[in-house]
Amino acid sequence: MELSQTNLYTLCSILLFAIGLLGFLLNSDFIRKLLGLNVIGIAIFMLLLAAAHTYPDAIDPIPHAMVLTGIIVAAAGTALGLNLASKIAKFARLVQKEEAATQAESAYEKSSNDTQGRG
Amino acid sequence: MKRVAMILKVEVNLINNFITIFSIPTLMILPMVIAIICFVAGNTRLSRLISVISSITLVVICALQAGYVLQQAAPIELIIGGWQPPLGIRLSINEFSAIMLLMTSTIGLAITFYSTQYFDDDEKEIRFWPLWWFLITALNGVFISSDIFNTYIMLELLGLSAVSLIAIQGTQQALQASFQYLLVGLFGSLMYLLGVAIIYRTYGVLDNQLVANLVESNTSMQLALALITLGMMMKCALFPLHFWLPSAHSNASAPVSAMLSALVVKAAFFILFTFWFKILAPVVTFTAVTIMGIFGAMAVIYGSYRAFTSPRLKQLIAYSTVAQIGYLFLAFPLMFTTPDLARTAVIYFIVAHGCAKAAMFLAAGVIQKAMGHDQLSQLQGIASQLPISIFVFAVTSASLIGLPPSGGFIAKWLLLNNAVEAQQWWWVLTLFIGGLLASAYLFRVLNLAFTTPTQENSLTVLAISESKLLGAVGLSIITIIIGLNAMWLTNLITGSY
Repeated sequence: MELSQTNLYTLCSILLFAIGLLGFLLNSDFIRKLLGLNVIGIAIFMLLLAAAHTYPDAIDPIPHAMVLTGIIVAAAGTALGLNLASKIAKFARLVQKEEAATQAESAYEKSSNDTQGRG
Repeated sequence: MKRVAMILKVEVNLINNFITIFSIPTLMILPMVIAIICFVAGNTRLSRLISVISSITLVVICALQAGYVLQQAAPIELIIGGWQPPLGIRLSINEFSAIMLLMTSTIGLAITFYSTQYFDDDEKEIRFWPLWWFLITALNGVFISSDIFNTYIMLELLGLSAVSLIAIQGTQQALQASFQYLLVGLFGSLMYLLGVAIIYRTYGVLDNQLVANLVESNTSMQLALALITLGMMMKCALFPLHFWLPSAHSNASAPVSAMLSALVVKAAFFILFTFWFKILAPVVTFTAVTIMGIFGAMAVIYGSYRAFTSPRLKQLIAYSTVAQIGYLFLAFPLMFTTPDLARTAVIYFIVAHGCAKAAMFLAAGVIQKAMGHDQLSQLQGIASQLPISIFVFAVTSASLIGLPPSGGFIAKWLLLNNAVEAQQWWWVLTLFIGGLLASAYLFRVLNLAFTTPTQENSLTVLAISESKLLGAVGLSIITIIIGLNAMWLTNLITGSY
C-alpha cells in the first residue's frame, strides 16, 4: 500500500483514536476523561475528512458537513460535561470544608478539655 | 345524503393529505417550538398549559399516523427540501416507528400531566419544561430519521437533554450519576459515529435504504456493526454495560426516571434493531445473534437478582429495567430463523414494558414524595395511605411479571411461542427464571405495602394528593387493554410487514 494523502490521514486518525481511547479509559480525572473523548471525536472527524478525498480532482463535500455538525455536538457535550464537573467539584469542596470545620471543632474541644483538666 | 358522503370524503382526503405531507414535520417542529417558548417565557403556568395542549395534539397526530401506516401497510415518507438521497435526508415512518411514536406521545402525555403537579420548586420546573420538550423532539427524531448520520445528531440531542434532565435534580448523587451518564452517552455515540464513518468511507451513502441495498459482508462492515453495537449496547444498558443505569435512573426525579426507563433506552434499542435486521442485515451471523441472546439472558438473571437485593424502591425499579431490556435481546437469535414472529414479539414487548415501567416509576415518585424517602424496609402499610399508587404499582407489576391478562403476559407468551417455533427452546428457560425472579422482587414490595405496621415503626406520611396519577392509571389500564386485545393487535402489526 503506497502512502497517499488519504492513507496518511487514516493512519493518523487511527493513532489519535488509540491515544484518545487510552486517555478516556485509563484516567479517573473528570476533565481528562472529557479531553479523551474530545480526542476520540477528532480522530473520527479526521477519518471522515480522509474519506472526502476519494476522487483525484474533486472533493466530496458531505464529510465536511458531517464534521462541522460533529464539532458543534462535541462542543455542546464538552460544555455540559465541564459544567457538571465544576458543580460536582463544588460539592466535594463543601464536604471537605465541613470535614475540616468539624475536625477543627473537635480539636478545639479537646484542647479546652485538656486545659480544664489541668486547671 | 349524497352531500354528507361528499363532505366526509373531502374530510378523509384532507386527513390523508395532512398525514402524508404535514404530519412528519409537525412531529419535529411542534415539540421544538414548545421547548423554545417554555425556555423564553420562563413561566411555569404558561409552560404547563401549552405542554398539556401540545401533548394531546401529538397523541392525536401519532394515532392518525399509526392508523394510516398500519392500514395501508406502506410507510409515510418525506424528503427534506425535495433533495433526493444520497445528497438529501429522508424521513420515514414504518410500522415499527409508527408504534414507537404513538407510544412516545401517549406516555409523554401521561408524564406531562403528572409533571404539572409534581414539582414543589418553581425554579426546577422552569428548567424542566424546555429540556423535556427537547427530549421529546429527539425521541421523535430518532424514530423518524431514515439517514444514519441524522440518527447520530438525534441521538446526541437525546443524550444531552437526558443528562441535563437528571442534573436538574441538583443533589450530589444526581450530579455524579448524570456525569457518568454523559460520559457513557458521549462514548456510545462516538462509537456509533465511527461506525457511520466506516460505512460512508466504504459505500459513500448515508441513507438507510441505499446502504441496505449496497451492503455486503466484509471485514469493514463487520467492524462497523461491532462498533455501532458497542455504542448502542452502552446506551441501552445491556448487561455487562449496564453499570450507569441504576444510579442514573434512580437519582432522577420521578417524571424523568419514567421517561428514561420507558423510552430513552428503547430509542437506542430501536437503532440497534434497525441496524442488525435492516441496514446491515447481510453482515449478521448466527454466532453474533446468539451472543446477543446470551447477553440478554444474563441481563435478565443479573438484573432481577440485583433488583431483589436492592434496598431502595427506585433502585429496584431501575434494576428491573436492566432485566427487561435483556428480554428484548432474547429476540435477536429468534429474528434469525422466524423474523416476522420475533419482530411482532419485540414491538409488543417494548409497548408493554414501556407503559408498565413509566406508570410504575410515576407511582414510586408519589410514594417517595409522601414518605420523604424510598427505603423499602419502611414501606410497611403504605397501601392504606396511598391506595392509588399501590394499585398502579400492583397492576404494572402483574404486567412486568407476565401474569394474564396483562400486556406483559402476551409479550412473554409471544417470545415463548416463538422460541419453540424457531426450535431454540433453551431461551424458554430464561423466560421462566426471569418471570419467577420478577415475581419475587415485585411481591417483596407489595407484601410490605400490605402488611400492617407494628406500633414502633408506624408510618409518618405527608398528606399528598394522588390526582396526578391519572395518567399513570391510564397507562396501567392500557397494559391490561393490550393484553385483552392481543389477537387484533398482533394481526395488525404482522399484517403491515
